[in-house]
Amino acid sequence: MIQMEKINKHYGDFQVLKDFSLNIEVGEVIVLIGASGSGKSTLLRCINGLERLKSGEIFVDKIRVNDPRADINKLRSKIGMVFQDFNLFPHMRVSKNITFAPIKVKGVSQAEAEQMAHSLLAKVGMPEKWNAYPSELSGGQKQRVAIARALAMQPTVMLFDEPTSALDPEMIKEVLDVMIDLAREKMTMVVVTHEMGFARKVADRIVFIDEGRLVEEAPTETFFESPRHDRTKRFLDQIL
Amino acid sequence: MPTKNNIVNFFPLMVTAKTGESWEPGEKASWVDLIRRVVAVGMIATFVLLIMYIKAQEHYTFRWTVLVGFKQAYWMGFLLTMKISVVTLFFSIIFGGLIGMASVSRRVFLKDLAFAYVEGIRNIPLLVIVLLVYFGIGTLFHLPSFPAAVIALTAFESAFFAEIIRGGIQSIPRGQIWAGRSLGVSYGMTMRYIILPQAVRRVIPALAGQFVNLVKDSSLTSAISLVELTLVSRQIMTATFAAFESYIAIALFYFSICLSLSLLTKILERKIPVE
Repeated sequence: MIQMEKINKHYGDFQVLKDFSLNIEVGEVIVLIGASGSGKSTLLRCINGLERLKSGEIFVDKIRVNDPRADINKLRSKIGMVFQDFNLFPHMRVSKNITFAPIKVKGVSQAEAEQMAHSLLAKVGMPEKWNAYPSELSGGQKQRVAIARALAMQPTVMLFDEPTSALDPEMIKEVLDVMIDLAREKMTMVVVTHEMGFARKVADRIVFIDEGRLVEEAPTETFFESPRHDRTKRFLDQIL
Repeated sequence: MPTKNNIVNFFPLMVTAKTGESWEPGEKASWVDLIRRVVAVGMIATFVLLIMYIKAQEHYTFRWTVLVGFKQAYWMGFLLTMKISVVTLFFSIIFGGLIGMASVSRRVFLKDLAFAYVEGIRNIPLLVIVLLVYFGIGTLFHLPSFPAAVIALTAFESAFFAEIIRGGIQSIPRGQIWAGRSLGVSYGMTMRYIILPQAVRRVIPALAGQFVNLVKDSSLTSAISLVELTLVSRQIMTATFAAFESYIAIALFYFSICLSLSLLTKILERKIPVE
């Protein structure tokens, strides 16, 4: 589904990603872990072309992301993204937040988009918030709307960038539950998170990044039970 | 919430009166504050004018009544001033908006062009631009003074509107662009439907403030024989030799127009939520 081959990314003189390679299969749930500043979020933004690469290749669904001739908007509509700070559109109601992109990008009819939005809102457990503005929602509700908004484009891959890091503890579960449901439906997911409980429960593989390099990558159980690298062991000691 | 403190604070010239913290983030002036400020301005103005008046009377006989005969001329002048201002506002918001968007563009050429325009305009006096457009370009294309005035003012004010719009766009978090783009929305559509509506909402007070500046700036078009408020009083002065009276009157006219607009702005500011 996603192939990354030796990607390098710089911010000015600072190299964020170093020769990073990873393949992700259809239906896989990958959890990316690493210290802050290690390049996890940048990696997610590279996958949907929000960041320009210095070198290397990324293919999503066999389309080359860093190809200037690629229809980047069409590609992005297949890749849903959920952000740490939600980034809902504050001047639009919940309903419009969800229906905006399907109508404007895919040309879906208003009625059809609204029907889908209704069922997505029900799916994330907040059908009664149809007419609310984002400012009237709690953090957990905002993030669930953001997930519904991304799903409305019917993506084949979902990227989650620390979706629960900005939430109060009591709201984390409601967001994780939605993500667990998605994983059960065999959505291909790449998740940056510090929620190790979630990782153990739903991830197929864990990828540990340090200073822009892929240090260790293993099936979930192997990763937590018998990490190979010292750097990984130290990191796990700190967070577990 | 009128309290005992507000009654004390109502008298602006009492230097000892304090309004609590001098500034808080996101603070909006209360109605009492607004009224108090208007009263303060009125008191200072009355005071200054009174001193001037008493001093001047030693050498000068005031003939206020001569102005009354020019009611019609003042009214026409007022209408023309407002017409110039409103027409210019319309064009400079469009033009300024385009330049403002160019200045945040990813295309270096557009960005440089916008920068050059804004810096160029901001460093030339408005009067020079007005004269240049009317006597230079205007002579080439046989422009009457009204369109010349609107072109000159639009060229000038657009630079300021552009800076306000740019500030508004840049105040929107980058995540909003990411959110739009990650949904497959194009750059142009993200600007139009996501960034601009939020940016404009944030800068409406600043835009309205610039409109007040525009009204004042329009007085310079009297230099190209547009009979707006300022030229009306110059003509009245020439006809009656009542210099003091006609210029005090015109100062008061501009003052009342601009103060009303400012107050309107403040009301607008309270009506529109930031988010």
